[in-house]
Amino acid sequence: MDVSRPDSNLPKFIYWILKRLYVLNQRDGYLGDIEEEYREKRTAIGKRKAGIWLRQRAFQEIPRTVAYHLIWGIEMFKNYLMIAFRNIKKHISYSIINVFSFTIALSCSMLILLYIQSELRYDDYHENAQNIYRVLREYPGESSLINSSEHPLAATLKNDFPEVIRATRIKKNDEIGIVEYQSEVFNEEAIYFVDQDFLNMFTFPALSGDPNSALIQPFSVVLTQNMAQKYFGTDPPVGKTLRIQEWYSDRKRDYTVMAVVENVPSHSHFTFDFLISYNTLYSLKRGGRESVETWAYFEPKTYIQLDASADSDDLESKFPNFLTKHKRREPDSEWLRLQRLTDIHLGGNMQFELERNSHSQVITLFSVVSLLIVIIAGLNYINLSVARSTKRAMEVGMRKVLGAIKPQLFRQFMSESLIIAMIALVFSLLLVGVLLPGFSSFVNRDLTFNILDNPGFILLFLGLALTIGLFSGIYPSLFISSFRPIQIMKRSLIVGSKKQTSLRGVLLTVQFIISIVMMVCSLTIQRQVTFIRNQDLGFDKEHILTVYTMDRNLSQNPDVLKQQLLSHPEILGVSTSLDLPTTIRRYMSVEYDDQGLDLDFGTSFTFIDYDFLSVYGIGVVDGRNFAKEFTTDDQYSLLINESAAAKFGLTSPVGIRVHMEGRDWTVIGVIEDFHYKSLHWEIEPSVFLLNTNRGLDYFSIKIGSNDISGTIAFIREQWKQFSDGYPFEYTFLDSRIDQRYQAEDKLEQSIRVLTLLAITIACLGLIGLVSFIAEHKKKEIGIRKVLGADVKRMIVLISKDLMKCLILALLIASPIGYFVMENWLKKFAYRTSIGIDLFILSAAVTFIIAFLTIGHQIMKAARTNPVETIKYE
Amino acid sequence: MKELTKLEEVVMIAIVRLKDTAYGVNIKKEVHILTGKEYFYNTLYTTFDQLIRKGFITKHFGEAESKRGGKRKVYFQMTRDGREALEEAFDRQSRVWDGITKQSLKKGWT
Repeated sequence: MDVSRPDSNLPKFIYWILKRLYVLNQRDGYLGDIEEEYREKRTAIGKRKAGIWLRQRAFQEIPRTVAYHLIWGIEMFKNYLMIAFRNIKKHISYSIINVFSFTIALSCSMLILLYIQSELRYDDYHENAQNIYRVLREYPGESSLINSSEHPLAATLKNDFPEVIRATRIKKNDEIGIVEYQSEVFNEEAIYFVDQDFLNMFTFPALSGDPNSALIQPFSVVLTQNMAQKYFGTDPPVGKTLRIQEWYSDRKRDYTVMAVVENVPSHSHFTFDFLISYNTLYSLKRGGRESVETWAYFEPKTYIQLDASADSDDLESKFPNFLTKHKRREPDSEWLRLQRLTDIHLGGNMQFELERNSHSQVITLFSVVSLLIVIIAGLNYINLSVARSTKRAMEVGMRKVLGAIKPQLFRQFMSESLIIAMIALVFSLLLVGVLLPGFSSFVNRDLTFNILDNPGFILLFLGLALTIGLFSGIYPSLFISSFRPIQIMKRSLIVGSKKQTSLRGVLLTVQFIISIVMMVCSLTIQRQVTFIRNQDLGFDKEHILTVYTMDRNLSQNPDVLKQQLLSHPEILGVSTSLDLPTTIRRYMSVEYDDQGLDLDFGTSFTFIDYDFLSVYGIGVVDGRNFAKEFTTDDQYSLLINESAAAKFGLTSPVGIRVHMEGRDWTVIGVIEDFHYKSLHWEIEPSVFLLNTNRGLDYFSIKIGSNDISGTIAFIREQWKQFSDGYPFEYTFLDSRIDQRYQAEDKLEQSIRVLTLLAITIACLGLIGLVSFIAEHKKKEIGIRKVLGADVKRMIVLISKDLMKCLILALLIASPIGYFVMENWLKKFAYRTSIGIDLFILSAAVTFIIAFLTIGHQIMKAARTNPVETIKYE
Repeated sequence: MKELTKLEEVVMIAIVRLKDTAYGVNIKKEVHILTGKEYFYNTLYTTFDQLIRKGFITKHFGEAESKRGGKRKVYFQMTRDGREALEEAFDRQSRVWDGITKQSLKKGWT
């Protein structure tokens, strides 16, 4: 009979408060006494006064009780801690397994979170970041947007739209290159041409000089701190001049250093060493100002800053009119779009990005993987705890008999899992601290983690650990604390109970699935990367030194240097060309109309010399190479590759005449196809022209493998002789090529590591689980042994269940793995196949590991003297 | 033997005095008589719990009554440890107050 109705004795509200004030279940004594006294008072002094008394008392006591519960709570907490520690020590090997897998899971998550955070905060250091946009072009029918614009766009936007308060162009340097100050001479590449608004829009704090006026005059240059250090040491650079030479002429001009700014942070989508005023281009380009400020072609990127109150969509809607007005465009033939500055980095790579961007997909991928690892660790914990529960059943039963109640027990077991999570947190903080530098350089980011700077992160990690502990602990704690003493005493709880085994089976299967999928992915990615690396690119890439020169004298008269070089025994070939096999990027169109064919297609092209094909080992499959005997080769002859030849569809295109760039050329030979782009792309048609006097900038030197450093020293010597005053900088061709696949390389490595981790954790879980089962079945094994059973048969018996899980896992994992990998391999034009053998391999590895684990544990159990195990009864 | 707080001591004395009528409402009234202070049930029950945990008292249920809304009474009684604790407290008190009269508390007493 409960009393909580308003017209009866205790007002409902008070009743509720009183109940809350006193947590322990003391309904009878506590609430009963209150009710009794209340009734006495009611009859004595009347309902109203009694009610007042009650309310007064209840409210007065609230603060005191709250304080009491706090203190009491801390006591209880200390108690739980003590008990939890004791329990953890008792089952130390299980605890170690759990701590270990939690630590790994937490560390992974932490590292990945740090990485994600660095990715997400790209470009956020600019004060105006929220209002800066990049202007992109979109064309009907094209799915991807283009990031380059015409030169006059920025200023015109600023003129026409009051909400565009600042605008700048950013143009990557193509015009100048050798920077000189006193005796320091260096090739510099990270030069941007920008407008004067650049330093006002973007936040690059000035260390000296005035950023507002730094880029107004032509031939002004702004240095970064690193560059100031490099050229001027400790001298103040502002006011001094740097002499910079142009690429294609000998002209050197003086540039005045107007300011020095801080180095560009690593989390920027563009980075530079030098900024030069845009109007300098008017003097550098042959056509002067008109050739720059024209709407005729696209080159720079345009960035604008909007007024804080302006809306970007609003502005975008005004663009069609703008386009019609200035470019006389047909409506809907071209659109301008605005891209937020902060979206650029994760927006994927458009052609000719300033720097390599990332893709939000990568972030998703890593998040998913780390989540999977966390899940595996959590599943481990659940599995182990539930399996161990019968062992602890006695303990639970005793406690219950002694008056412990379910919430208490629940809290106690939860605190165990939370404590394990906390211990893991401490270890993982240490681990992350150790791994962070290595990880930072691996992902090329600045990932320092200063505890004082990032209090938010500590909370995040703490929250992460607590969440893991919480979720892993809920089910086992609920399960264990709900044991009823009678069940335990009657030994009616069996490890092999239907519900338990099937739950264990499900958890195990999920772990297997995750492991198999990750293994398959990792193996496939590895296979693809090896495939790409070993793919014959069609030209020799080993031991080829490449040197770029801007010395026009040298490039126009390379023969003497060539002869000198070839006199060295270890130098096997020297060639000059406009492009290396990896840098071919110019295009033009070829027309052919003869014999009924009317072709007009685009090809890439470059200029080479007589020795190019032999240095690179590219074979001639039809016709001939350029040769000195044919004196008109450099005016009319053309080499084409197999893909180009295929376009003509003739038995042999040698001898045909084609039209290119306003002139007629004769095809004299067909050479083997080779990959000059990365293997993501198909080979395009390509033509090669001979040039003996124009000046070809790349030297390709094939060297032998003996005494490489000696050979290089020799080459450097020669360079000094023939091209003094120009820096000698070389790269090996194969390292250039490797650079291309850096992203894939890193991906492969990360996936491999993560897979290994996932499998390790899953294995540990398996070990723990199996050893527990084996131990529990010690009795059974002992008895069977006495009865003469064969150890091997027992192993088979116990592993039958696990096999079922494994097979089920394989069935589910296969389509998942296939689907994921198929998607990834689609990116490559040249790819391996997804081998069935990989699936089988993964399953086999998983099975073997599982089998060994089980076998080992069972052997251990079987080896114990049956007398020991049965004696316990 | 752990020391008793003042309130614990008073509560235990009240239980001794009340003999077998020592339950919540009565104890509250007795404590009120003894100390002049009125404590509310949550404080008292907190003290009961403390004492139970220290092993000085035990509780048992009595009859359910309608005037308590159908809830049972909870009676408390001393344990041997509890009696010992009171004895000790009594001894300690005697030693401290030995020979002191109200007179001697006045100033100037030699």
